[in-house]
Amino acid sequence: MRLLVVDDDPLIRRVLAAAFEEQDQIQLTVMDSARDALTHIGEDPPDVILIDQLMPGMDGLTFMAALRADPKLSDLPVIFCTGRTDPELLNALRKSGARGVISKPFDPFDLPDLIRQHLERGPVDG
Amino acid sequence: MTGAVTTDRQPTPSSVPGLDPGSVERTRRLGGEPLLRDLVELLLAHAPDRLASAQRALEDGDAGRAERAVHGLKSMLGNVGALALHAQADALEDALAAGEVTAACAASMAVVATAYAALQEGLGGWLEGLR
Repeated sequence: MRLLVVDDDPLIRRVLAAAFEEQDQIQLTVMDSARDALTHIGEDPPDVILIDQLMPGMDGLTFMAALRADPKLSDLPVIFCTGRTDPELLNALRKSGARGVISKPFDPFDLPDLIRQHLERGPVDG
Repeated sequence: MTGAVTTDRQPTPSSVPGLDPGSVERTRRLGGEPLLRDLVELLLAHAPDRLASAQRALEDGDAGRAERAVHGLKSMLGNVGALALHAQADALEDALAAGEVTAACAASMAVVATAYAALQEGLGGWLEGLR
């Protein structure tokens, strides 16, 4: 599985690189900007995207809308991760067609399984 | 035969005030000393900018900009295991999400800045000890 992680936090990118280092079945790419990720995905689509919601430039929901507007990319599975807890935002993330929402901070040891579980479940709220 | 007392357990920042020992141990299990060192170096390199951005935004009365900067700082603090400071930043972020810079926000920002300065000093000392 080819996983693209988009997060502006350099620490989380480093943690995830370590978390997936031993995962033979997951090939990880990390990017720090949703805008750059959109360009990258158009050229080389991953199997699943894990994206932070609140980032400078373009947030996760805007990224999701851009992805859904592109017929070639609209079916790509997206999982949000966020440190925000307000119910309105979490509801919007779930209703965006994402496969799931992972709350930060998370245990990096759990992340590979969490991603697999969200993928198996299908879209949260179509 | 004489020799220095040695230990095979490398130093960790577990004793740095403000870091959660459980989080430090988890990081150590995930990536050993190199990951711990990298995370601390990344925090010390990037967190001061976020903190300064948040302080400037508060002085400008811009709650949205302050909220985004505090959010970024909070994320880094969580990843390095500074859980108490992470919780303080989380509360400040929630307060700023209301859209207004209040006296309570300014006071909370000062608490976060003071706690971060202490954390930075402790982590800097730990890094120095490794050299």
